[in-house]
Amino acid sequence: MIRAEVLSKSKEFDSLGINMTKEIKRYITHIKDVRTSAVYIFEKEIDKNFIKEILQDEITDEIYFNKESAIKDVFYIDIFAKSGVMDPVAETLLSYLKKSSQDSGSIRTCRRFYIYTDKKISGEELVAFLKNRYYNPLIEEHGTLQLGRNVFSDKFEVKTVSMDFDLNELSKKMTLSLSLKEMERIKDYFYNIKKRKPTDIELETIAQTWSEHCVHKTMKSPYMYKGRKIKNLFKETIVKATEVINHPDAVSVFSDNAGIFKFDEFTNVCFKVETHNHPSALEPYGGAGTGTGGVIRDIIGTGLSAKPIANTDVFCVGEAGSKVEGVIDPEEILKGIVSGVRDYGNRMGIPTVNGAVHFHKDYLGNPLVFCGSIGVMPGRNSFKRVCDNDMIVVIGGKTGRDGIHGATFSSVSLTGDSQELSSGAVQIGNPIEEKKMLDAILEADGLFTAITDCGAGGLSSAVGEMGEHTGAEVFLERVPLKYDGLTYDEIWISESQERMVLSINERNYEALKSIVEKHNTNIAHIGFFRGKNLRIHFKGALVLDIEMSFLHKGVPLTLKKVKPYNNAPEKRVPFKLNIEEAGLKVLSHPDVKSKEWIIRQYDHEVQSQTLIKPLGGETQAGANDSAVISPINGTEKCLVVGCGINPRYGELNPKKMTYSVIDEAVRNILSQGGDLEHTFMLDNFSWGDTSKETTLGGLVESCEACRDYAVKLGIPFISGKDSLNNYFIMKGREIEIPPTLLISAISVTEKNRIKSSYFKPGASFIYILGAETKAELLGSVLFDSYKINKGIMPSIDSSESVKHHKLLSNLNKNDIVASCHDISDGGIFTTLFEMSLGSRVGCAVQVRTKLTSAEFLFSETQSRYVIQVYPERRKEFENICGKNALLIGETNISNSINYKINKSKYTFEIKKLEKVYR
Amino acid sequence: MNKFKSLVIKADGSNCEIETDYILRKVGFSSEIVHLNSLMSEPERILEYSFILFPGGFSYGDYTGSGRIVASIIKHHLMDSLKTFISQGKLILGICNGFQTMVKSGILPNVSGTFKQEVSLIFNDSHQYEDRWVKLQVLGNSIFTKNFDSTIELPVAHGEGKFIYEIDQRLVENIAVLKYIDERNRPTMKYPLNPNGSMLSIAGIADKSGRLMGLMPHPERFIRKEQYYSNSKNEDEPHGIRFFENAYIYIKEEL
Repeated sequence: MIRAEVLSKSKEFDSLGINMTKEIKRYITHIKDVRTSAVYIFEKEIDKNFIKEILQDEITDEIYFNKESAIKDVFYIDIFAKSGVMDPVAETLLSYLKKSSQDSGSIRTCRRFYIYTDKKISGEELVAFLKNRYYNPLIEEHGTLQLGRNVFSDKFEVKTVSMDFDLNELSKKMTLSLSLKEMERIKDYFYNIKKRKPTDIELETIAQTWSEHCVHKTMKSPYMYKGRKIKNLFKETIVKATEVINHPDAVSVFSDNAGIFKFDEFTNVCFKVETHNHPSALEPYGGAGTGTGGVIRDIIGTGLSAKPIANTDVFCVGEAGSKVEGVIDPEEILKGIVSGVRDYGNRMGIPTVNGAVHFHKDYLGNPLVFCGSIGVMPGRNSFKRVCDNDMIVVIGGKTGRDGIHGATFSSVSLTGDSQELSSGAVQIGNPIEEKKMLDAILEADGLFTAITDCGAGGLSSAVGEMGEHTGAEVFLERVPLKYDGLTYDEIWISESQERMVLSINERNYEALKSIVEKHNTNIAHIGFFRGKNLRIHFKGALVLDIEMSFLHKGVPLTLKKVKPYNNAPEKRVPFKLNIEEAGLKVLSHPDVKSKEWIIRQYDHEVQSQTLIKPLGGETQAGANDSAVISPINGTEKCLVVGCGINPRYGELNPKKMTYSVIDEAVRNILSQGGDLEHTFMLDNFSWGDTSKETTLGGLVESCEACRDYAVKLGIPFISGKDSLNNYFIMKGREIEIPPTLLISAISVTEKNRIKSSYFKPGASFIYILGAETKAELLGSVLFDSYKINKGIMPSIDSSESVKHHKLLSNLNKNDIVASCHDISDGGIFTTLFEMSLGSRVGCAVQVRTKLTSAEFLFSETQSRYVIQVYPERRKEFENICGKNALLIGETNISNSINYKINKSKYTFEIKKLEKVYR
Repeated sequence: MNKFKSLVIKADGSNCEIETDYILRKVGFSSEIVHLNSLMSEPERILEYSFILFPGGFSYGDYTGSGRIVASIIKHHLMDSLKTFISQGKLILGICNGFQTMVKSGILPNVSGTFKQEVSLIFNDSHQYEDRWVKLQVLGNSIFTKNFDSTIELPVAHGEGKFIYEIDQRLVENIAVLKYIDERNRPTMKYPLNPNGSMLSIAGIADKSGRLMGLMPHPERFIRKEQYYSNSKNEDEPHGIRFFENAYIYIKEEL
């Protein structure tokens, strides 16, 4: 055995230690200093010089073999991954050492923190600080790192499960998350049709295939709403809109891992957004990382594979400063989520280009993480088809015991104990493993007939789905394993990351194998698509045999009787406040405040295709509404990507929220130069407790609003996802998340139409284009800042709004608009500030209005844009827009934003506002 | 033999090879991306090319320090061929992770001529990955920056870009090609203008011949004018392209 510790030669080279010291001093004042090192254990003796070369930086580090480091008699704590949890460092070392013919045996790694202090420090106090900042008890432990010695026996027995007992109890005991009705259906199938008891793996496979996560049974159920019967909510709302619109460029909708639409003559684009809520509540870093990794695999697994070109991310977390036992603090959740997305996306070399963050007290125990990914593919690769007798091939990472029961776990509620109890449900990703797999798959274009990813439910889900029409026969002992001792059901439902399943004709196997092996990753032929049934063998025993039709069509759906959501009452109530103070409050509201600290951590320019970045202008702080990416191969076309989300509205009125977030997504697209006629949408519902009739009523109202507004706009939905039962039990009380709908929008436009969201320099005019500003402030950022809860919410007159959006879409085709920013959270006050900040261009605004100054400045009336027009285009602009555009002022070279609203005057220095905003 | 052949060496976890290859073709090279795993068994293949690029990314995840494992592979498998390649007067450019690899394998700056690591690129002072645009001063004798204006702008995106050195400061000043500068074009240690805390504000260096260069900023990410971060200036020629054009001109005229 070799034990190696790598420690920087001096403190100045230890930036982690320096930054930790700054942070920890705020909590434990008597700590003077922290130094960090990395410890590695190699099971077997190997060449120390070789180890030295790959672990030590000669300029900055010392390496110590089998002895104490230079830091002596200082209290330290070691933190390392629990045995069996993915450790990307060890995995990478192992793979390189193996390649270099160095047999190291197993490897474990650990992070060591040396704590310098005046007083004695207790381990407990230190662990309390490190917990959820530098250490997550779910996947890591502290203590003395040792080589794990796992002794497994090769014996196994096929377990059958009796269903003669309380079926609810059985469902709970096996974490199946199935209802009594579903359990009875299964019992009937086995006892009466198959005339035998099910095996454990059979029950688990059905539970996973029938899980909310995989089959979306709530959305697809029949509903009774206000005496009206809806046969299949999903089909009659979301899908209906897409059918009615019948967009000529929609290529594949709601059927594959992502929605596909046409980009140009040769190329299609696909887009998918996933939710990854529950794992992120317990292990934000791993949860968000694997969420990102998972949605990227969805893109790789769309059609005959697409190349991911951009990622998006949207987070909803609790309000800063809230502390509850058993729940990770919102600040730490957010930091963890951001790091997870960063480390996965950046390492994969996919730019993270668009997103949003919202804060609401009811996300405290159940934060939301939406991860999106966009891919490009040759048009010919848009469809997959598994052929009879194709080989079933799994490529990518090896299978371990990670994340058993993720699909079923994602459908249950969270409690304060969840973090301790659900360790199996969370995984750590290894982005480099996924990158190698991606490179191999892109190179293997044309060799396979179908591809899909191993996500929730693992092989069970992937093979089950692909073999729906052909049947599948799998030999589980052929799956490459991380370590010995896995039983058949663990292999089958393991959610080890970074694996894909391909179907391939036998004659192409060798060619695929040599490509995969060149990229240093794994490949195994594990069975055939044949025989109509799903049949699983393990070491000679048949452990599962189910008809595909029962698996895929057997889930019973129940009629859901629902009641209308309790919408907030609305009434215009006068309010008084100080405008200067209100301006500062709104800009420092967490939903409005600059997200620069997050955006900077994402590589948003890798692949060299990002034209409009999240932030721009001379200050690199001007927020753009959406991002623009243009594929590198010289095309004039490009993609605009944006989103809309608003939990403040959702809580008050899901229907109005739905209109608003669709409107916001559309505004974001059009502000940057998008084209309304070539725009597509994705819906992601994150909803509360589906056993509550009003909660489900809100879902019905939201789905119907989606259909109605989408049809008016002519923008089809191409893909979506729902995550239900997002609630948290705290001290016996249930806290539901606010009804949350994320709309992601993507538009195909041309490069010469794109523009940014901050003012260009030079004298110019400023207009409001769109709806007339009304006193619509209930649910606004202003009212949230002042805790005012009486007022009127923004309403959308969809015919009027469509007219305004079309107007801008047409203006975009000419070079009339210099810059454009939509009016949303924080009203026009926020919009003008953000536009001024980008390149520090001042402005003066004069309006006469029936509204009060506060109402005019902070109203969140929808379907409005602020537009900058140069004098030479003024006439043309006014002719086209007529009464739909209102001239409100001019830009200037001052350092301030000046308002004259009726007779009141206000002046805001840009620098002063920037201080609270950035 | 076609002397305009360039080679982009990709390793597990590289992720900027496609755009790097794209711009090489755009300026006239007949470029190829080859996996390091293929070169390990036939290292002499690199001699078919005139220009080698180590692209950006996270080779082997940077899990044991950025660029370190690729540096190890180079030392064990490619060094002899690389030395021949260099002695033939050919060009090498390392961008971001490629720069880290060149430094850690001793290819750069190689002041001593012994191919030992002499400088390093370590974690940013912020200990965080950052993507932003920086202003750079152009100095020294690199063939890649020949005839440049005195300042350029490029994006950086890295977590380990802090340049440090152990050798004589005068020697370091001689190898500096790019320095982070402030609004008044003075080399700066001020964050975020100097995004990582690099000593002497160094963002890029070259060896004494000027034919081997490494830099943290990404020239391949500023090859279209629409990629500029602000709408207020209309850049005529994106600054990133000229690194590659200069390589082409050098090979045309000198090789």
